[in-house]
Amino acid sequence: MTNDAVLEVKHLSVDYGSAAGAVHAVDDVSFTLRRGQIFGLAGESGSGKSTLAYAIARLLRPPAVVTKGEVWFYPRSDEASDGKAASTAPVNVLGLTPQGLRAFRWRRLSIVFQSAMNALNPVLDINTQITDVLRAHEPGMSRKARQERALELLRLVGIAPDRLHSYPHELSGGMRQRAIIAIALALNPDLIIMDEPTTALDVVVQREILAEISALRDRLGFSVIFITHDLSLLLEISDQIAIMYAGRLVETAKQRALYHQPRHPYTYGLLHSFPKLHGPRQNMTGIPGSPPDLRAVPAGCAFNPRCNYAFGACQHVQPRLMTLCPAEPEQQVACHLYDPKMGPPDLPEALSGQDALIGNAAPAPQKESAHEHSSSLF
Amino acid sequence: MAIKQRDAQASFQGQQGVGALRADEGIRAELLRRLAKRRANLSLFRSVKIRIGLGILGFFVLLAIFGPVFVHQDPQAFSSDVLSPPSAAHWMGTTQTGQDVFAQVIDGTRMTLLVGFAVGALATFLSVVIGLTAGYFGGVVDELISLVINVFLVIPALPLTIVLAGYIPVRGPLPVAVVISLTGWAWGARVLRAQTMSLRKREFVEAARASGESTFRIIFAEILTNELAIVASSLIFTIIYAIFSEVGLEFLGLSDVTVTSWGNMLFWATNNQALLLGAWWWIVPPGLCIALLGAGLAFTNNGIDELTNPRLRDASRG
Amino acid sequence: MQFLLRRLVFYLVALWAAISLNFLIPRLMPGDPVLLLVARLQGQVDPRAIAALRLQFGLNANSSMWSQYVNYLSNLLHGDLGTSIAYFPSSVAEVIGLGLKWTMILVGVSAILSFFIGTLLGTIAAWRRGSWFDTTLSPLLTFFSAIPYFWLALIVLYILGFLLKWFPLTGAYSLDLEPGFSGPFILSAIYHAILPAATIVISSMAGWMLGMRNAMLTTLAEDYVLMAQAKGLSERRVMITYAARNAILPNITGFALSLGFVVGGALLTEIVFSYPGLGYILLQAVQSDDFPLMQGIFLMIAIAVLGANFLADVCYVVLDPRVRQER
Repeated sequence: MTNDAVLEVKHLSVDYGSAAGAVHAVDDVSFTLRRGQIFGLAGESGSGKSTLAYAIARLLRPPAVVTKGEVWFYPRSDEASDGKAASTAPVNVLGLTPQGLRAFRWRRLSIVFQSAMNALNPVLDINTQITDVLRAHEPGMSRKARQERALELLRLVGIAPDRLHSYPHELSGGMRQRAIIAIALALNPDLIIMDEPTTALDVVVQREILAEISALRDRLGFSVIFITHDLSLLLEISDQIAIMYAGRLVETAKQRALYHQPRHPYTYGLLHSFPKLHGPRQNMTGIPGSPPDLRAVPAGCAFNPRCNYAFGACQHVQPRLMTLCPAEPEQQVACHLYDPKMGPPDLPEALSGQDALIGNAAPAPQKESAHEHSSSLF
Repeated sequence: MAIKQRDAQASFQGQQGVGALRADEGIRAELLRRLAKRRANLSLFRSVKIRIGLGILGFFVLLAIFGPVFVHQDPQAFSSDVLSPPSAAHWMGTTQTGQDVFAQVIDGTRMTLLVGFAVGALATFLSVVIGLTAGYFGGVVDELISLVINVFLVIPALPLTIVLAGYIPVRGPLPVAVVISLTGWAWGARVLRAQTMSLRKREFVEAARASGESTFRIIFAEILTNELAIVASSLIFTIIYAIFSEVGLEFLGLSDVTVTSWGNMLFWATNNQALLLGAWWWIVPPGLCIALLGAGLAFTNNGIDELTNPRLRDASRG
Repeated sequence: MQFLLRRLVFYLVALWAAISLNFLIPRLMPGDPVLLLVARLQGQVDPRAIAALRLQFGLNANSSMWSQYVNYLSNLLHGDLGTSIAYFPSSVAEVIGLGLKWTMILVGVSAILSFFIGTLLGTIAAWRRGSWFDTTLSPLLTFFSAIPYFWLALIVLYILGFLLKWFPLTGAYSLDLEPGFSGPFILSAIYHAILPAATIVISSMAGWMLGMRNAMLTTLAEDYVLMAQAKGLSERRVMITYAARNAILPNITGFALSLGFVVGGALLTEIVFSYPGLGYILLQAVQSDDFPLMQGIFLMIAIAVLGANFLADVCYVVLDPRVRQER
C-alpha cells in the first residue's frame, strides 16, 4: 500500500436550491484520500455525507449544485485491457467534459449503492448488468472474455457461478450486495465509494460483507470512501475516519486514535451512544437535541446548541479544521476547545488525553476515563 | 376515455407486477390521505393545474345554474332561420329547424352536468360501499368481490352500456344515468379497496374494534373519513367517464332526444348531415364545451397527482 | 407460467360473466322489453323475424330460465348468435362477420400505433423534462385526451374531408374496386382508413404519453438509473434499457385495462366516418331496436378485448422476470 494520494478534495461546497434560500448541504470540506486506504465518513442523516460523495462522483441531481471547490483525482498507472497504458495525469473531476466524464466513470471511480435491491435493474440479469459496463468501456473485449470476467468477479465476491443468469429478485439480500460490489470492481477502479452498503442487511451478513471488502482491498489495492451513520462499523474497517456534522467536517483521525481519544464533543457523543460488549457498565450519554435544520444552521459552531462544553466563542465564530499535533497531520478537529486563541476553558475530562492542546508543554495527567477506552473494541 | 388510460398508469408508482398493483394504489392513496390531513389543504390551491381545472369546472357550474337566465331565446323554439351561420341575431347560428345553437349550448350545460354529477355520485357511492367492504373484510368476501370488480373492469364498458340502455323501456337522462353508473363503479372500487386494506391494519381501527364499535361504524365513520381525498379523486374520474359515456349514448340516440343537452345536439347534428351541409357551428360548440369541461377535470386530477407524487413536480420547485 | 394460467382462468370467468349478462339483461328488464318490441314491430317487420325473435328469447315456450340458459349456451358454442332484425334474414353472426374484420384492422392498428407513439413521446418528454417539448406537449395532449373521439372525428372529417377534400368522406374502400388482395384495393383501403385511424390515434395517444411520462419520471428517480449513469453507460442505453424498460411495465397493464375504452371510442368514430365496421352496424342495430344484433356485437367485442388483455399479459410476462416465478 503506497502512501501517495488518490483523491484530493479542496474546499468543496454543495448547495441545494438557489442563492436566496440556498441550503448548504456541504460546507467547505477538504480532505485527502491515500491510495489503498479505507476512509470512513460518518454522520447523522442530513449531515451531508452522501451529498459529498455524490458531488465527488458528479452524480448530483438538481437542485443540488457545486458552488465552490475542487476535486483532484490521481489515477494509478496500470494498463487497460487493450495494452495501452492509461493516462496518469491528475484529473480535475469537476471540470471533466461529458465524454471525459463517461470514460472516467466506473473505470476510475465506482459506487456501491445503499440498497442493492433498488440499485439493480429488476428486469436485467446479473450477467447483463456486469457485462454492459464492460461493453461500454472496453469495446475491444470479446463476448467470451466478458463472460469470463463476469464469472471471475462473482468468484471474487463469493457468489456461486451458477447465479450468473439470475435476476435480482432471485438473490438474497447479502448476495445482491455482493453482486453490486462485483459490478463495482468490474473495471478495477482506483476508488470505490460505498454509500451505506450494509445498512439494509442483518448484522451477520453485514460482518461478512465488511470482511469481504477488507480482503478485496488488500488484494486489489483500491481505495474506499465508506459512508455510514453507524460509527461502530467504521471503527472496524476504516484506516481513517472523518466525522461530518451539518455539512461540515468536524473531526478526522486515524481509526485507533479516534476510538481511544475522540477530540470533538460530537464524536465523543457518538462513541458513547452505543454500548460496548465488554468492559464495565457505563452511563449512556447520547447527544441531547437533534441535528439542525440545514436552512437555519446555528451561527458559529453548528454543534454549539447541543454541546456540553460550549463557551463564548462557540456561538460567534465558526471553527475551522486544524491539526492538533504536527507529528500527526491527519488528525484534525474543528473545535474551539483546542484553539488557545479563542480562550477556551480547561479541556473537559472526557476529551483530555496525552497530546490534548497545541503548544501545551505539560502533558495532562492520565485520568480515570482513559482506562475505559483501553478495553477491547467491542 | 383516454383519461382513464392515463390514470391507469399514473397510479402505478412502482414497477411491480400486475398482482402487486394494489400496493401501488395503496401507496398513492396513502399519500392522498396524508395530503388531505395536512393543515395546508390550501396547498391544493397553490397548484396551477388545480386552479385552472377548478376554474373551468366552476365556470361551467355557474353557466349551468345562471346561464339560462341570461339567454332570452327559447332553445327549443323553431324559427325560419334555418341552418344559418353565426350572426348578430344568433351568436352561434341555428340548427336544421331554426333553433338557436347558443341557447341550446347554454341550456344543455345544465342537463349534461346534472347527469355527469349524478352518475359521479351514484357510481362513487357504489365504489365506496363495494370497495370498503371488500377491503375491510378480506378473505373469501374480498376474493369474491375482487373477482366481480375485475370482471367489470375488463368487460368493455361502452358496448355493455349500450346494450343496457337499449333494453330499458323508457328512454331519458335518468335511465342513462343509472346505466352508466352500473358500469362505471369498478375503477373506484378497486382503488378504495386497496386503500381500505392498508388502513385496516392501522392502530386506530384496532382501537375502535376493541372499544366495541359496530363494524358498520368502523367502516363508514372511521375508515371512510380517512379516505376522503381518494374518494374525491375517484369522484372526479367517474364524472369524466360519466360525461363521455353520457355524450356517447346520446350521440347514438339512446337517451331522450327531445331533451336539450350537448350530446343530443351532436345527435341531431349528425343525423341531419350538418357536416355535409357545412353547418360547423352546430357541431363545434357542444363538442368544444365537452372538451373544455373534460380538460378542466383532467387538469384537476393531474394537479392532485403531482401533489401526491413529489417526483412529478417541477424539479425547480423541488 | 402459473401467472399466465391464473390470468387465463380469470378471462374465461369474465367471458362467462359477459355471456351470462347477455342472457340475463333482457330477461331482467322491467316490463319485458322484448314483448314491447314485438308489439312495436308488428306490421313493420317481416313476421318471420318476429317469430325468430320469440323463439330466440323463449317467449313462446314455457321452458324454465335454466333450460333457456342451457339452450343459449349451446347455441353460442355452435356459433349461433341469433337472427338479426335490421338485416333480416341474415343471422347475427353473418352481419357481425361483415364488419368485424374492418373494425379489428382499424382498431388493432390504431391502438398499437397509438400505444407506441404515445409511449415514445412520453419517454422523450420525461427524459427532456422541462424542455419546450415537454412543457408544451403535456398540457396539449391533456386537452386532446379530454376531447370525445367522435367529436374529434367530426371536426377532422369536416376540415380534411369536406373542406379540403384531401380524404374520402365515407367507407372503407373505394366502391368501384373489387374487394380482394390486389394492390389498388389495399391502397384504397389504407387511404380510407387514414382519417379514422388518425382520429383514434390522436385521441388515445395522450393517455399513453402522459402515463409513460409519469412512469418515466418516477423511474428516473430510482437508484438503478443513477447507477447506470454512474457506470458511464451511453445516454441511450440508460434511457431505454434501464429507464423505459421498467417504466413501460405499468403502461402495458394500463393498455389492457383501457382497451375497452379505446374500443368504445373507436366504435363511435366509425359511425362518424361511416366506416363499415362494427360501430356502424351497432348504430343500425340501436336505431332499429335490433337486440340480437346489439347483444351479438357486445359479445364479440368482449371476446376481442379479453383476448387482447391476455396478449398484453403475455407481453408483460416476457418483459418482467419478476412475475415468471411464484415466490
